[in-house]
Amino acid sequence: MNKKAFQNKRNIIIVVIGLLVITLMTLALVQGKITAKRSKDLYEVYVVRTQEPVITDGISRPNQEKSYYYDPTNGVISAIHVKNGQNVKISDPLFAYHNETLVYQIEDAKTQQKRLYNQKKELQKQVDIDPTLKQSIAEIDAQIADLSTNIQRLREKANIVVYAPMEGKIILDSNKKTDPSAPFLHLISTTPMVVSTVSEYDYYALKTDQKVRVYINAEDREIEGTVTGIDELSTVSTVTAMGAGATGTGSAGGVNFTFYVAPEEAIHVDFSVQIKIPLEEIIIPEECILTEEEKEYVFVVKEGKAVKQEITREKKGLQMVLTSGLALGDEVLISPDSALIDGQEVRIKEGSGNAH
Amino acid sequence: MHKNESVLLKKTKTWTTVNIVILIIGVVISTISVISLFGMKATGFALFQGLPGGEEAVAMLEEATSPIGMALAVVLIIIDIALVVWFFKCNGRMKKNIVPEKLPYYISLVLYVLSQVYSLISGSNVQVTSGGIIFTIILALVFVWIRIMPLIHLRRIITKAGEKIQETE
Repeated sequence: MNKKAFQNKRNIIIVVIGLLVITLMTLALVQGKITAKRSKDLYEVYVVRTQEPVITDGISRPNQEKSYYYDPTNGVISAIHVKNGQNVKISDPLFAYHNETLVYQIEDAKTQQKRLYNQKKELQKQVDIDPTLKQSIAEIDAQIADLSTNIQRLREKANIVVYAPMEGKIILDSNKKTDPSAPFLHLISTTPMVVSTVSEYDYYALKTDQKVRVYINAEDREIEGTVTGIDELSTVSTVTAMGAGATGTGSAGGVNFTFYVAPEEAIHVDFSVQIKIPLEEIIIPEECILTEEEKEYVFVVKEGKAVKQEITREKKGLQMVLTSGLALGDEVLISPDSALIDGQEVRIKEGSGNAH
Repeated sequence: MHKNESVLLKKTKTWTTVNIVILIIGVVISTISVISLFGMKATGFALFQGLPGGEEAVAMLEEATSPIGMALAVVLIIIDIALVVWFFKCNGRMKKNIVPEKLPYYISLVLYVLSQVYSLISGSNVQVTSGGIIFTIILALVFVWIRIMPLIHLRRIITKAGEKIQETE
C-alpha cells in the first residue's frame, strides 16, 4: 500500500516537472518570437556624407627655371656676382661679360671722333672767308653724332651685366663658365609647383581653381593648394620625365592626366607629396534605394520615424551621383523592409552609421 | 530463458552506464555554460560588441540569459542530475540481478526529444551549411539511439520491474 502511494506521489512529481519543463520551453519560445519581431524593426542607417578624397602622388617642381650658358660672342665672363645656393631678388646682378675686341673698336671710334672734331675746328676758321664750308661742317657734325651713338652702343656691348629676371635660388658651377655647351648657372624659382597625375576614372573629380590638400611626406605636414591646370591630353611622356615620384594612384591599367597644384606655402623642390582631391559628389549605397514607377526613394530617419523621400541621381563617370533629395548628415535606412510604410516608427542599431 | 534475461540485463546495464557518462558530460558542459553566460551578461556581452553579426549574437545571448531561459537551463540541469542518480540506482539494482523500472529511460528519451524539438523551433541549432545540418541530424540520431538501447533490452525482459532474475543452469 505504502509502495503504491509512493509511486503515485513520484509520478505526480514527474508529471509536474514535465509540465514545468514544457511551460518554460513554451514561454522561452514565445519570448524568442517577440524578440525576433522587435529586431525586425531594427535598422542600420547610412549617414549621407561626401566620399573619401582621391589621393594621388606628386612631386614639387620649380615653378620656373632659367639656365645660363656661356656665350663667347659676348666676350669673356669677367665677374660672377652670386654664389652657389644664394637667394636673389628681381634685378640683382648675376654675372658680367667683358669684350676686349669691342674695347679696341671704341678706342678707334674715339680717335676718329677726335680727328673729326679737329677737322671741324679748321673749317670753322675758314668759314668767314668761304661761306660754302658750312655745308661741310654740318656733315662733320652728323658723322660725330653717329660715332657717339656707336661708341655708346659698343660700350654697352663691351660690358654686359646679366640681371635676375625673378626671385629664386642660384645653382652655380663656376667650372663651366667657359663651356658654351652646358649651363653654368641656374636660377630656380623659390615658389615651387606640385605636379601629379590623375587616372582617367578620377579625371572628372578635378577642376581648375579647386582647393586640394597637399601632404608633404618628409615633413609630415599638410597644406592647402589650388589646382592651376589640368592637361587635356594624357601625358605618358610627362609622367616618365617626372620620374618615379609623380605617378597617380590609378595608373595601373589606365591613362593618366597630369595636373598642377600651386601650394599655399613653400615646399622644398623635388620633395614628394600626396594630393588629396576632395570628392564633393554624394553617393548613396544601392541597398538604401527603392525603385517605384521609375522613381527612386529612400527612407530618411526623422525623429525616430522613417520618412519616404524621393531622390534623383545622374551618371557621372562610373558612378550614380545624387543630384537632389538628401542633405549631408541625413540618416538613410539600409535595406528597408518592403513592408515599411512612410512615417513608421523605427529603431536604429546602436553604433550604426559609422561603419559604412 | 532466465539466462537470456541475464544477458539482456547486462546489456541494459552497459547502456545505462553509457547514458550516465553522457548525462554527466552534459551536466558539466551545461553548468559551465550557464556560469559563463552569467559572467558575460555582467559585462553586457562586451566580447561580441562591434563584431560583424555581434548584435545578433548579443540578442540571442540576452534571450538565453533571460529569467525564463535561465530557469529552463537550471531545471534541465537538475533533471539531468536526478536522472544520473536514478540511473546509478538502476545500475545498483541490476548488479543484484533485479530488473530496474523503465521510467527513467522514458523520461531521458522524452526529455531529449523535447529539447531537440525546442532547439529546432527556437532556431538555436540551425546550421547554415548543409554539412552542418547533416552533422546535427546524425548527432541527434546517435543520442536518441543511445537512449533507446537500454529500453529495447529492458522491454525484452519478461521478469517484472523490481523482481530478481532467477539464476539457472
